[in-house]
Amino acid sequence: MSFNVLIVDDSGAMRAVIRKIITISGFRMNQCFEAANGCEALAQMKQNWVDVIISDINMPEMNGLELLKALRRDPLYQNIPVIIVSTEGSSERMEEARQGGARGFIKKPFLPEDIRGVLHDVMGVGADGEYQKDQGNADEGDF
Amino acid sequence: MANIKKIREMLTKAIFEVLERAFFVFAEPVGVADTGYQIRASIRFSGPMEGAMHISMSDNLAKIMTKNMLNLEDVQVMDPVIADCVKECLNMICGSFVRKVDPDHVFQLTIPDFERISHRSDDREAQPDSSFRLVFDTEGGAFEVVITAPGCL
Repeated sequence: MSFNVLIVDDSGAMRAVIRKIITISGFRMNQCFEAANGCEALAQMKQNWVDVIISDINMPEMNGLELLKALRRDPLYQNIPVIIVSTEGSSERMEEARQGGARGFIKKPFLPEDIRGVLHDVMGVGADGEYQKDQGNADEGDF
Repeated sequence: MANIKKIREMLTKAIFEVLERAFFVFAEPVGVADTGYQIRASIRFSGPMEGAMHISMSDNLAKIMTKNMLNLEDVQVMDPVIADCVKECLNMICGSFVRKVDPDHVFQLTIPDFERISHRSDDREAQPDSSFRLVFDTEGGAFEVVITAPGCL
């Protein structure tokens, strides 16, 4: 199983770093989309299906917390997991993001294993990239 | 005085963390820079502590940091990419620093500004009140951080 990832950060350099880290981490990424702010992220999502969003907080036009609110309001997007990657790592901000629906939080600067670990946790996949729930006997299914 | 010492320590730690983790650059504190600066980025922060921070460095160091961060070859290192990396460097240093100052409360950080400057090593800009300067030596030249925080420094 591989996943479509949307990276949202106003820094092109940071988007490139995150994309590279995900690629080399072993996480099974299918397609990677990028956006420089929340507005662009929503526009991307109208064109492309996304399985997980990795977003900064501090961005012009629409910041990460505003993006979270917009996603929660839309039944089509409200269950897509969002991971916040930000320099703003205060406990108050992390709680604000969690209340807004974020499923994970990574503080910058991060190590590659930080992103890999949170991605795997949030998506429910093991180190081998497989869903933990999928690892059962096919004969034990309903049909 | 103890407060300034503690703030210096927190800022120094934030600088080491960011330069090493994100840019693979190792810095050593020095008293005075022996190279000039051609690049500066600035940011303001507000919250439990208010102030501004800027970083200055040489073109050479900025290029090394950019290449390291993005794993680029020399020919790929263009001005817009350098500006982006330098601004992100300052964003992370400031963010890491304010997290150390007060890990529980939110700080607001502005989006950093980037500019090219012409600053010789023997120029000593007048330091504003309520500020201090930290200078580091790296493989690519000097790296300077100035923080201004009225009421705190």
